[in-house]
Amino acid sequence: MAKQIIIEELVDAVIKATERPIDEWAVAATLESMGLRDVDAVHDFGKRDIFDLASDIFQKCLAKLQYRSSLGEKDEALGARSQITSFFRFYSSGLMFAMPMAGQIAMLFILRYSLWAYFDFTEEQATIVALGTILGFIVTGGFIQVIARRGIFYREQKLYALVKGVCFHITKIATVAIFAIGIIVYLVNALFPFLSQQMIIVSLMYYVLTAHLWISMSLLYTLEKRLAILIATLFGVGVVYLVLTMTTWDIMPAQWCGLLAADIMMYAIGYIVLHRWKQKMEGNLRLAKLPRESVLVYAVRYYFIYGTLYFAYLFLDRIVGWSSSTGADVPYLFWFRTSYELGMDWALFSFIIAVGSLEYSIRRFSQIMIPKQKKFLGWDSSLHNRYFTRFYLRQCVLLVITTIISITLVYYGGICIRDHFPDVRLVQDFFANPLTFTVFWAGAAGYALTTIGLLNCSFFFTLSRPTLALRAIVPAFVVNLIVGFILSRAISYEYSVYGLVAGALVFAVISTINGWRLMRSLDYYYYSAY
Amino acid sequence: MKNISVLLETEGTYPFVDGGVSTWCDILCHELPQVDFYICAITGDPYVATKYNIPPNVKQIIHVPLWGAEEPAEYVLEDVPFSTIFKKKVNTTDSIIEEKFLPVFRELLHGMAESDMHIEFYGQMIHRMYHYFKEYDYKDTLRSELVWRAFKDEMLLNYVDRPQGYNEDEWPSMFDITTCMRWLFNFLMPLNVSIPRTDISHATIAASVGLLGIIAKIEHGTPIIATDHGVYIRERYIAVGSADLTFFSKKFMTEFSAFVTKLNYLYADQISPVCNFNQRWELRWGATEAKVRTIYNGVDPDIFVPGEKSERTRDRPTVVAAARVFPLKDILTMIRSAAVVRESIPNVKYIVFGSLKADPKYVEECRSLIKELNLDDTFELAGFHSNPAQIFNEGDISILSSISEGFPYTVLESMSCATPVVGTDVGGVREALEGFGIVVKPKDPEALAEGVIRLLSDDELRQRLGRMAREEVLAKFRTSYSVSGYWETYQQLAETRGRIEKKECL
Repeated sequence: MAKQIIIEELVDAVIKATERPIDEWAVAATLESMGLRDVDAVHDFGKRDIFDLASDIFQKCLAKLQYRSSLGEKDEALGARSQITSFFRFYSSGLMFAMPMAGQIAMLFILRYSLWAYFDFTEEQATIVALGTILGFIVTGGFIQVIARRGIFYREQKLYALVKGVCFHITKIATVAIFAIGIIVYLVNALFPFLSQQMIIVSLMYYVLTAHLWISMSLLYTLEKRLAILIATLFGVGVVYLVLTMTTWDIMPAQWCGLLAADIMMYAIGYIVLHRWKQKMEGNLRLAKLPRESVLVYAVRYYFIYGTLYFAYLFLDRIVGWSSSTGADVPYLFWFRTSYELGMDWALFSFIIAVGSLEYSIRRFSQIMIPKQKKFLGWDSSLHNRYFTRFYLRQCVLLVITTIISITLVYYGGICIRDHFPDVRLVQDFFANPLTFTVFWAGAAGYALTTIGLLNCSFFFTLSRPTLALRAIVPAFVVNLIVGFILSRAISYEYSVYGLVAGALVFAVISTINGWRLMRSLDYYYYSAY
Repeated sequence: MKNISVLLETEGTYPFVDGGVSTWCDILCHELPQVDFYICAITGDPYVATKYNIPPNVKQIIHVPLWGAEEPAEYVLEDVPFSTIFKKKVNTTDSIIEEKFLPVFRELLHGMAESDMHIEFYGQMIHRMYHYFKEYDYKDTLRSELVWRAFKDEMLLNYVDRPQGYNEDEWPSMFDITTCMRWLFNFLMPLNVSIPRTDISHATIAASVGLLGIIAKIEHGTPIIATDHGVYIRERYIAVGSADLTFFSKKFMTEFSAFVTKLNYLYADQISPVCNFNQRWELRWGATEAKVRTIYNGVDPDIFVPGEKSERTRDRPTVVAAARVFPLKDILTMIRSAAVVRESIPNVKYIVFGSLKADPKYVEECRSLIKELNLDDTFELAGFHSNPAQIFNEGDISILSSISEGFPYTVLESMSCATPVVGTDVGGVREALEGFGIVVKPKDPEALAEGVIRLLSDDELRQRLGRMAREEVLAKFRTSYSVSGYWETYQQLAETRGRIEKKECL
């Protein structure tokens, strides 16, 4: 049968096998892989050997091939339809991230309490709780980043044993750090009392329980179990409700029970999911082991610093403002101010709504990166970078628009509630102090600018450039601290919110400059994103 | 007397992956206890475990995963204190990269584009690069913007000046450039290891891993032996040719493979293919006839011994094959030959022992053909067999239908069991089988069937060829012959090394 094969058939066969042979050697190797031998080249084709035959066939392949660049080929991911569906998909996915927080706020309005908040807390109680929860955020911020970054890095490679390993390992270290810092705070307060020892113990209870709440949440976030976070936190509120209705316990122990229940539930879900994933692993992937500690620390160090500084930056205005006695008499060094916190919480709503846009921008970027890279010729890197710079600017504009819309919606939503339910005590309490409005506007501006910084940092992290994020968050933190400190001491405590505004402006400006530069050299940054 | 020490360089095989080459390495390490082996094993990913019982004369295993490590220090430099790695990172500045690395890097890229054999110079470049990575960080260097820009410039040099000189589908996209530089980051990973000083370097494939031997030779005059089980460059052409890649990426990949192949052959003191067939490619890629000395693989005739047919096949004329079911084994042709044989020998039975996991799509294709030809009772894909020594005693004859081979162990094993083989004329099959079995043209089911019918219907011929095949193995293809071939080479090369060192001392 093979005897009837004519050269033209071989040419077709080589083109079919290789699409387009690179050179004569490629043809020779292909012919041999088809079972042709030197003896066939001699007898059937009158050539010296396979290499001689390959040379002839290669030339015939070149003559026969239709050359067509693949650059012009359509890619669905780049179409307008994909853009629209991606927006809704990724935006809603981003909103899902904020659902647990939204769920807690909803519970607060329905039941007057959530896992750690309560409308009827005295300012002393609120001080204790705020101190604990803020400390929890700051202490765990770095660990949360590390769990998420490293966990997702391994999850994407389907190295579930390593996801489990890194999540558990970091959780253990975080637990030690949480307790160690708790003990230090207790001892420092014993030596230099800024709160009573009883207050500090209660505060530390909130600190430990909320710190684990954030850690366990990051665990489930890493495992893409966002709905489980919502369910667990609502379950926690359910436990608070049950304790309050079935026992004579006060709100605080009830909240501890709720927090503990939510923590346990999330850790349990995390453990079960990780265990199942690990069971699913096949072949050599089961042999994967975590790198040694020093390498791991080196790989995650910037993410850890960023995470810690980010949460410190986010709560700095409260720490600075509530530790100022300018404009108000306070019994302790640190004192919760209800109207200030309400203003910031109100502003936080606009932040939550805008976060969806962040998710869209960064996921769309990842979605179009490779298809777009295939569209640009190697020597057109400036065009390539220009395209992505424009894309980046569009995302900034989209975020600004989303933020303006969300601030407007949140403001008028609040006003609407105030006007329609003027007799409800909760509403009266909320809007009782005009300071809340001032803080809302400043806080909303600060959060809006922060989202721009976050958008940039998302690009930096996607391209494995955490130092660019650090270069923005460090000066932002410092400016936030200095401006907030000076204003809150010189004018009045609530002016610490302008520290956040100034810090956020620095965060947005520096990160945008870095983001712009990154996009202008995106060909390099994309190559080196490993 | 001090043991001879050998740096055994493996790629995708021993001791982490099983298969023919790994078995060969394992035999070598076990059968030469008087040699201290230092193994440098390149693997695709980092997650591997040794699959063999490592003998005590294996003194060190250096594992180099090309992919999967975010930080090369995670695996390649596992034994180096992190403080040392950190120091290297701190020392790796843009000015150092520009001054010490870029000139070498650019030369390396030129070397890849060289079409002739003037590449001694590039061996020195590889050596300089190795020394650079001893002082400076691998990842921070290759990830730097300077290196990226240099790479882009070099890759685009010809295209930018004269794009019309190339066909449109040859033009590289941004993605091509990115992909190729990332490949290079992985391909050069062996230069990041600390090479143990040994008497001899033995590359089990003329590929990237052989660069370590070249460095050792330039640095210490360590002689090199390269064994070609298959021919690396030929296999790369086949694999890359059919891969779903753009023309530019394929070209880059083959240029890199060609570069390391040429360097390997140039620096090797002895090139030992496992069959003469491989020489056809080796001599065209820089090997000289003076350097080439074939050392055939061998099998243990005390393990692969003739035996009685098992109960399940005793009553039927049976053809066995030991082959993983994937396209290069051309099982489809084997199935078609079974249909032809059945016309003459209705109760014939074909049994293929071998993993069905290598290419599930192809396995399905085979199953469909078996059904289509109504061969359910005639042709069996039996899957993995735990005892290879028994496979050939299950049948009256064995069959090999491959379209590409090196020097297959299965042929020798069958011969050792006195089970005559009908095999296709690929690779070194003819060298083993001619006169002791039937060699037929590949991809020709009728020819294959004709050979099978001839052997199954002629008891005397079958028994005679079986006997002669066993005698040929005893005379020429014993493991001990193969191992002593390498032992002699090691001794000769070690002596050469002594001479080189003495000369240097003088």
